[in-house]
Amino acid sequence: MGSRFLYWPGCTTSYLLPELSERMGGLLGRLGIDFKLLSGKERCCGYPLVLLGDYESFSSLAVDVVDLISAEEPEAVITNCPGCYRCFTEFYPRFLGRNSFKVMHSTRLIYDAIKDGKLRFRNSAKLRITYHDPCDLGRHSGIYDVPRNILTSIPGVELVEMERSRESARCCGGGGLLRLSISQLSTQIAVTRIKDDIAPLNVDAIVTACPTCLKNLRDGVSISKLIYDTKDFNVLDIVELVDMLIE
Amino acid sequence: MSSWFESYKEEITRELENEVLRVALERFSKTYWNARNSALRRLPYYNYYRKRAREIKAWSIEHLGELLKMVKENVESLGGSFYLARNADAAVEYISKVCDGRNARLVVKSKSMVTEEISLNEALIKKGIEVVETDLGEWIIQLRNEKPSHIIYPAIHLTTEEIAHTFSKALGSNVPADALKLVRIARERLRQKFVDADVGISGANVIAADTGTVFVIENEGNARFSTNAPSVHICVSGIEKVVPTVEDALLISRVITPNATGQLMPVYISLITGPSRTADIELKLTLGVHGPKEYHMVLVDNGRSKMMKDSDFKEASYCIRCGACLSECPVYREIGGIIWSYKYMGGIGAIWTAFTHGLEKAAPIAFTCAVCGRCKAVCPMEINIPEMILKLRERLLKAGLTPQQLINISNNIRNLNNPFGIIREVEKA
Repeated sequence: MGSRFLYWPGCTTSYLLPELSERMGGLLGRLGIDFKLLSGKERCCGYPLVLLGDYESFSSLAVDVVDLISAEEPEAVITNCPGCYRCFTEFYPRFLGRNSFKVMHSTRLIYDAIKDGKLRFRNSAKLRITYHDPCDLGRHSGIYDVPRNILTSIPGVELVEMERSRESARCCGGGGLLRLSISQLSTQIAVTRIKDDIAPLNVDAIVTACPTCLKNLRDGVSISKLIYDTKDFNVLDIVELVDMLIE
Repeated sequence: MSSWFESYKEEITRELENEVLRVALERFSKTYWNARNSALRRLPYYNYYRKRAREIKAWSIEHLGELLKMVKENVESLGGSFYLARNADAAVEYISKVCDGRNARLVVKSKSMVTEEISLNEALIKKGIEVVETDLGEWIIQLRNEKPSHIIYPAIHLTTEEIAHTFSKALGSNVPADALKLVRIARERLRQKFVDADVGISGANVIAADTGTVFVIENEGNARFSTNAPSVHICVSGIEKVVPTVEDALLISRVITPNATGQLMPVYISLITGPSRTADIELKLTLGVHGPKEYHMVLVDNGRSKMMKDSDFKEASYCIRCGACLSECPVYREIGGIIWSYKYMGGIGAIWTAFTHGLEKAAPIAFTCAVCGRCKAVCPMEINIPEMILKLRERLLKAGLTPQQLINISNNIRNLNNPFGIIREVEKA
């Protein structure tokens, strides 16, 4: 009790990318943000149940999650997962009939900190990057500009747009549970994203803002390198990039 | 329930390893993207057109009963026949009877997805009728005994080289992989068929109720021949194609075209209003001059009314069949539409299939969607396909058609608090 914010990493970050949640925690700490984690009490947000059409299980899980979060009385829930973000902001109100808590995606928090002058970057970066719009953040939640504003605020970082970006962005292949259900197809979509959309840009790194995209694009990079001899692109979550380049 | 999903996944793997498909879809995806974007840049009123098109479709679906009545009255007053087919069997039976009545031995067809939906060709061929598809893409897949892989580009899963191979086999001579030469062959081989055919069957892109006019959009000229040369024309389409006026139908045609092919206007839009006629001799009305003497319009319901009455899926009936959602879909880009379909392919195809052919046929299509929303972003009618996919998955779950592998995800969430099935030691607080 008492912490203003609750950091909700979500299952993908928490179970498959623990280093990302550590980065995120570190960044929050450096920003002087008073936050806490649910740690062992953490649940799935239920988004996979929505994607399965299992609305019955989802509704009952959502009630539990709202209780769990409300008990902490946070000013806002911060998550770096666009799936959780969409689920909390779109499906919770739809199924529960009310807004239960305030949710912020990590990109909003970071951008606000930049605007408030709380985040300063080293001047030493020299990085040519592209940004991959996660479906759940972009098309499904309408957040296209905030991550781009962060990237263009970092000195020495050059943002190169893909031809297929924003609402035209090709999915990384990890959406709709495909990564878990038809993984070969899922990875192949990532390979095409790398080979067709990213490789021609000659960038050093691919930045995204979603743990599922991160995992799928990383798989895509290694396979595309193997088959098409494309570059061994570094795939970074925007949280990682920011944390790396912070003053 | 898992077995079908496992074998379906094996089919996906085979398609991912299909070299011809991979090359064909890579070429298609780039060409289409450029063509559509450049067309839209040259259509300053596109957004007005498509928003108006949505209003027209929404209104038409609400008033479909009266619009269908108007179409029937108009077609009949023109000397044509109108038949509302409740289901696929009724449509096939009616069309078969018309063919029987004329002792038809040769039928030429222009492109029609509804005739695919009702499996018309198979039924006519069974009766000993020669059925020739005259749209180039349809003719190619007919030669290969395949089904269309895209509603606009039926043979888009094939490369020029592969089509040359198919032609070489069919003709028994070596045909070079040259699009121009392949087109010439189709022209030579099909020309006489139009003349000899007893019946021409076409689809319809839009139908205007106020005059009973059918709009047939095409580039090749085969639909003009098919609907004009034989003495009988049967137009087969879905009931959802009807809009109030000729102007509405033209506007919808203008929305279909850039999204379908990246053109500002198609080469041909045929407006067909009844059988051909003359009154040149003493103003005596005589049917059947150079065009068909006999004209039938067959509109198929086959699950459509049910879809329109279902608030979750009603908007799927706004679909104008431009195919933009397929052409831009990242899943389609990898596996195409042969395995990702029963008759209708992709995300919107899953919804259509659920109503035209039932939930079981729709299940594999629905569970292959990435729910990424690219289709919704590109759809001129703003149909919320990803949302409908989720609602369809809900019905599939209730019908026991969800693959076990996906049920396991749900179980993992319930039992282990994560979708991956990872067992984690609970940290002591």
